[in-house]
Amino acid sequence: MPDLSNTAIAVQQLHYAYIPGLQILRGLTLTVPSGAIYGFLGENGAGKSTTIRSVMGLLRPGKGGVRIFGQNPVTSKRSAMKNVGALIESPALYDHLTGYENLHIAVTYRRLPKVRIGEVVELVGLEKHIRKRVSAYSTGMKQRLGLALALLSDPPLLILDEPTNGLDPSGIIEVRNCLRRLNEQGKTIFLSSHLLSEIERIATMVGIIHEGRTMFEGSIAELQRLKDRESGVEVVVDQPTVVAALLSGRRTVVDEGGRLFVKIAHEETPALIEELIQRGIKVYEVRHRKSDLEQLFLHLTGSGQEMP
Amino acid sequence: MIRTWVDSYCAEWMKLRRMPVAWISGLSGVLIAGFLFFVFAFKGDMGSNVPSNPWDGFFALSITVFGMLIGPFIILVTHGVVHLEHQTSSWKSLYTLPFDRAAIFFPKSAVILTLVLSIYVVFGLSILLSGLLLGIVVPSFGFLKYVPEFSFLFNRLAHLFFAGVGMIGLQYWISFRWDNYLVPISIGFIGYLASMFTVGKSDFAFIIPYCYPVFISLGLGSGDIGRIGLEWWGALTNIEGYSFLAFLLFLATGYHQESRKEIR
Repeated sequence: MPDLSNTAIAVQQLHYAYIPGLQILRGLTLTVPSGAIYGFLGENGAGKSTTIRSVMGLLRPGKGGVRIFGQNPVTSKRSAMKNVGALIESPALYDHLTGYENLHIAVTYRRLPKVRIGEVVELVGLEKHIRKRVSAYSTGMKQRLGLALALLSDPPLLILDEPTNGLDPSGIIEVRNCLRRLNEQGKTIFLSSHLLSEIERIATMVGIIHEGRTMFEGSIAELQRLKDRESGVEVVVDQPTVVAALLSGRRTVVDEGGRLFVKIAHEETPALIEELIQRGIKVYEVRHRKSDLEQLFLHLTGSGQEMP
Repeated sequence: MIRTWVDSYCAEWMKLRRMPVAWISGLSGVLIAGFLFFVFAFKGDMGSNVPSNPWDGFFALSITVFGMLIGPFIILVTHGVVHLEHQTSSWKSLYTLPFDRAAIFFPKSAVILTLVLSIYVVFGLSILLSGLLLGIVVPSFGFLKYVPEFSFLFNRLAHLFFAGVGMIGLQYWISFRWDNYLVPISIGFIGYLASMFTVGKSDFAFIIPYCYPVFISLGLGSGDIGRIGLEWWGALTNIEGYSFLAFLLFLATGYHQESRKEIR
């Protein structure tokens, strides 16, 4: 592998199969630069958690390589893992103990000063509940405690697998703001999600995975451009078949049960409305529709676009 | 490395707070000693048959019974400590800590050894207390007139403890191997039941570590150690030798598997 010391995570041509012949990762490649908030997007079952477990050294991929700040997480575990705080799927917590006791155990394992417990508890907003048993915690509180555990060693890299799972809207906003603050302090954040809207709000870089392959990797602006290409308007008119025929040579038009979806740039919308009115079509409704993750996947997979 | 192992050992202890295994290890010795107290107190002729120092017979019989009953407690303690990690899916956190998996695996086994040892210590103290109480409740037994032979109590319990480490090693490996709660417990209890039927009756018992405490109980308790196949190997018996061997074998096998295991 090339010099990867300024790259937080480098994944090269990763292959993994839980059962021989049933590939979950099929040559996945990712590059997470230091200092980024990297959104790792994929539908459920796309291979996000498998990728994260491989990066963390919990799985041993058949082919390909993983580096964390240039270190192999399996063969150089000590130096690789001291730089990482992780929350993998649901947090692993001892329910019969309090939140504080869970953090105390983690502090003891890593020989960290006890003062860190108070700092991370404040950071995730769990001060009022930290002396309660974890069995009495809500899903959101457990998620925050998991985040606090990941932050304990003050690592330069945070790997978070769906960290807003189970949080209410205000909890999601709090976690998002907390991650932004941590990023401003210089931490690299690798964040997986199946929600494009969630990633768009926070990430500076995005990687999209589909069936174990990287379908897109780039900045959020590049993703936006890609999305714009897939955006359009929903039109409700009195003669949908006439309109579909009228536009079919020039535009992509999909009849969705009387409601037409016309792939068109946002700024071309007034011209389209004007044209329809001039032709005597009654326009009842026009609504801009942004491309969502599902459509983006369809586009990426349909066009066969893939990372080299 | 030693510092990491010590930290890991301390962290393991913290997890045991409010856990049933902590209660089991604390109370099992007291329960067995309490049971023996009532047996002696209400079946008075047992104590009065002792010709001279009543403590000798009391200790010998108590430790024999303790050796027969200790198996299930060792199984529950060993399995409880390991199963906690399966139950909370903690392996993914523990195995991503910045040190080798050995620093989790071996200190955890040391915690179990300490917990089991504490059962023996608590039993030893409880049986002394039981004798004193018997001396008060049934003065005719004469417990208050004689001094207990502490070295006998210590030696016999030490032999029993050494005979138990083989079964700790086996149960530890089994509990790591299966994340299900019932399978390791069932295997353990079947092994323990097998010990009741095979010791002294079948050579098969020598290869089942669950039988080793029963071997020591029956062998040293009867005074005729050769009757069930026990031999002295210096200060220890052959069964204790097999027990240490089994402990090392299962610990090594367990670590070999665990160090390569994928956490899915």
